[in-house]
Order: sequence, then structure tokens, then C-alpha cells
Amino acid sequence: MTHRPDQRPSRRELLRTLGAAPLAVSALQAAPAVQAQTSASKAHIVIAGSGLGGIAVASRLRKLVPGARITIVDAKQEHNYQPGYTLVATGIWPIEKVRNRNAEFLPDGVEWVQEMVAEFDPASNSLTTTGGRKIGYDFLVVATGLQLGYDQIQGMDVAAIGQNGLGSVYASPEAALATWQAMDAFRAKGGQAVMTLPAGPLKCAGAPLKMTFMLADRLRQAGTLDKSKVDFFSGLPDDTVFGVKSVNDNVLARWKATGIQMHYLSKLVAVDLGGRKAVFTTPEGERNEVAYDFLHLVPPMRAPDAVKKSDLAAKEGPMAAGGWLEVSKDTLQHKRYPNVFGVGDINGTPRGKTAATVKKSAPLVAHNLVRVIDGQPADQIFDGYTSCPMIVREGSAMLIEFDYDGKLTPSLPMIEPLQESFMAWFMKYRLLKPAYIAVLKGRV
Amino acid sequence: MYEIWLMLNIVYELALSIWPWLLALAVLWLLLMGRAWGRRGADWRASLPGAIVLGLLVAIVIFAVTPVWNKSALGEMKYWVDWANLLGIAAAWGVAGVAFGWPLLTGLRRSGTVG
Repeated sequence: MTHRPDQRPSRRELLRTLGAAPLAVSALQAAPAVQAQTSASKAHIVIAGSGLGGIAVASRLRKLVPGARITIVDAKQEHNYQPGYTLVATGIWPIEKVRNRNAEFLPDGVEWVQEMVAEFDPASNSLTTTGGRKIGYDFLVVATGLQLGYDQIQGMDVAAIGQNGLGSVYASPEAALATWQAMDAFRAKGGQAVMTLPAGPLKCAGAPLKMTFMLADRLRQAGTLDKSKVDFFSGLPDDTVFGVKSVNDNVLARWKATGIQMHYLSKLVAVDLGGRKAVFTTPEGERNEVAYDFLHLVPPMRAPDAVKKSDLAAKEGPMAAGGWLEVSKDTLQHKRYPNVFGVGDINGTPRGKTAATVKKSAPLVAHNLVRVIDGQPADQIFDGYTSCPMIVREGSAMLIEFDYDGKLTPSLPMIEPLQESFMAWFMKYRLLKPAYIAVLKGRV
Repeated sequence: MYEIWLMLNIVYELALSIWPWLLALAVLWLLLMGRAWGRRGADWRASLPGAIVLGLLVAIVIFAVTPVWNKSALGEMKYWVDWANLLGIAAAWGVAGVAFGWPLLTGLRRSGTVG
């Protein structure tokens, strides 16, 4: 498959943007950037993490609290557009589309400590970096993201992704590209595909489903779907692959029509990469070895050790096992340390480890933090909004938006969320990355 | 309202990513306009139908190829929203075609000639 180099705009892109650009520029200049409370505080705000959540909150705080000292702590130089990984891993986008530099997006006036956080000590309002530097703060925003638990699957080696039919979309841009190479080789001949889904909170919980839809579509395009068998192993209870029932039922009905075989309460515990075998266990402890020609492996996920081992982590309840940040799901303020907020994947909230959740929650976190800085209670309530452009095949998708309760909340009420459409695909393929960049800049 | 603001930002970011090309096109358009305005006896009205035809042709081509350019197909247009948006995209291109075609044809037309 060939790709048009992403950096060079097509003539179509060029002309389409021409007409609207002056209008957009004038509107951007005229409209208020942030409709939120501002503060004259000179507090020191530390943001742990430079992903979408960390930079989006930093950009907003730079405007809302212009006198504050803002420090971002993160060693990562590359900024990855993670919502694009599924497009790279299925041969739709080139890898360059998901790679940028963090330095491009960090707002002016923000100090960047280029080390990872090794330890949080909220009792003393400080953290320690991997280089041993102790940084104190008045207020802290935890935006570390999460940790992929490949190490919890015996025999798994991230470096082997792309070899021997092994794919895994989550690990990195390189892993996404390698996953596509493995899928591309598999579809040429067909065979036995094994798709996995662990139980527990996941980053972009729709990604394993999109990978399955796209694998089936790639097999169909290659004419090898009839010669193949696709088995989906879900770690969730019977008839469950997604947390929103209407979406779940829609997906399962589509897969049934495609001939995808379902297995539930199946936890992936080991892989034999050379022998191409995956081992699943049931809650009763029964082991089931499955041979494969292509495996899409989704690791369990947890909080990074720096959070998990600190007093910031949830101590009880469903979020304790993963060590997720113990925040109020309403205000995203820490339940025990009121000068600490969380944004993004690290939050121990019921749903929404997606960029769409950050888009909606970063302005709220910035606003509520400014209130707390000024000695007022956090007053904005997050509804748990998240979104999943569910790719059903190349060229078509469903734009699904929902809240904490699993209630579908379409931004445009006249559009049916479970209706597959070119427009939902077009948004995923063309429009969501520019929206993501606008979020990074703290404008939307 | 938020969706409109979001869409404006998306267009802005798209434009920002290709601004040298947009600048070149803007200069080209200004040159075309300047040439047409500077021509003695320029007959804007006479060249309008030709510009509209050009815009229509552009819109028709864009309507047909936009799905393919986005790794989809006309066969995927199964929802009224798809058709509405595709028509909108084609119309926007058509307007751009007229915007460039009108001064171009006016500038090319010799004063006093018809057709």
C-alpha cells in the first residue's frame, strides 16, 4: 500500500482551506480564548506529564493564571497523536502522522524539566524526578498517562511486535506500524486470527474493536476472509466487549454477520511467540492454548509506578488494584489532597481514557484549579464525556459519544450515533488531528 | 455554539499546516484581480457565466472524487449527513472555482469581444 506523504497538502486540501481560512482567523482573534475565571496568583503549579492532558492544561493555565510559575515534568521529547495509532496499524495512515515534537506545543513561559517523575510525596507537596531532583509545588496536576502491562503476559516481548504474526496497536508508533506489517502479511494468505481484550480500564477501549473490524475488512479486500477464522477473546463477561450496551450489541451483531467467533471470560496470560500460541485462562483456572497465524494482543493497563506506589493512588474500591489516581469523578480534584487534580488516562474515573475526554475535561480542570488557587471550591462538574469514532471498515465509521452513565450524547442531536457513515470516517481520517492540536493549544 | 467554535479551530489548524500554499494562492488571486481590474473596459458581467460554468465543473469533479481522496467511496454514502456534507464540500470548491475563474476570464477577455 502506498501513502501520500502527509506533510505535503493535496490541491484539494489547499483549496478547501483557502475559502474558510480568513473567516476562521478573524473569528479566532475575535472570540475569547477561554471562558473561565482568571487569577493573579503567583503560585507554583507543577504538571506531571506532557501528553495531551498535561499540555492542554498548561496552555490554559498560562492564560488563566499569567503570574503563576508553571513547570512541566516529563522526559518525553516526542509527542504522539495516539488516536491515530489504529489508522497506522491498519495501513491507512503513514507513521509520520502520529509523530510530533513536544517542544512544538509547550506554551511560552512554561518551564520544562526533562526528566520523569520517580516519586510523588503529596504530604510534603513535592515530587522527585528520576534524576534525583526534588521539586516542590503549591498545586499539582497529574497527567502522567498510564502504563501498558505487557510484563503481565508471560513470554511477551514488545520488541517482537511485527514478527511471527504478532500485532499490538498500543505500544508506540513503531509498534503500530509493525502491527500493520504483520496484518498485511497475514491477510495475503489468511488463516487463524486471535484478537484479545483484557478486563479492566483501558486506553481507548474501542481500539481492540476497531482493529478487529479492520482486520476483517483487510481480509475481505484481499479475498482471504473465507479462508480465515477470526476469534475474539474477551476478558469481560458473556456478550460483552464494550461498556455501552447499545454500542456493544451493535458491534456483536456486525461481528456475528461477519463470522467472528466470540469467547468470553478469557484472560490472556502467556504467549509462545516463536510457536505462535496464546494461552488464556478462565475464572475457574482452566487453561486454553490457542494456535494463531495473527495475534492482536492488548495488554492490561495500570497506573505508572510513580502514582501507583504513592499516596495519590486509590486505596480502596475498583480503582485500587490498578493504582489509579483517586480523584472525584465530578470535579477531577483529588479526594484527599485538594491541591492536586488529575487529567487524562491516569484518572480513576469510571470511563473515558481517550483524547475526547481530555478535550472536554482539560478546560474544567484548569477552571476548577483556578478556583481552588483563589480559595474557592471547585464548581464545574464533569459528565464523563468521551467519544469513539468506531471504524467499521475502510471508508466508514460510527461516531459514538457517551458519558459516565453510558448514555449516548451526540454533539449534533440529528445524527444517529449507531449509523455508519462516510462523515464519521472523514472526521477520524481528516479532522480530528487538527482538533487535537487546538486542544493542545488550549483553545477548544 | 461550541461545535462551530471547534470547527473554526479545525479549519484554522488545517490552514496553518499549509499556510505557504495558501499565501501563494492568495498572491495569485490578487494578481488575477489586479490584472482584471487594470484592464481597460474589463467586462466582468460577460465573464461571469463562464466563471460559473467553471465553478460547476470544479464542484462536480470534487463531488465525485472526495470520497476516494479520503480512502472511502461513493458507495459508502449511505446516510443523508454524508450527502449533505459532500454537497457542502463540493459547493465550497465550486465557489473557489468561481473566485479564481471570474478574474481569470475577465483578464483574458479582450475588451469589446463577446463570448
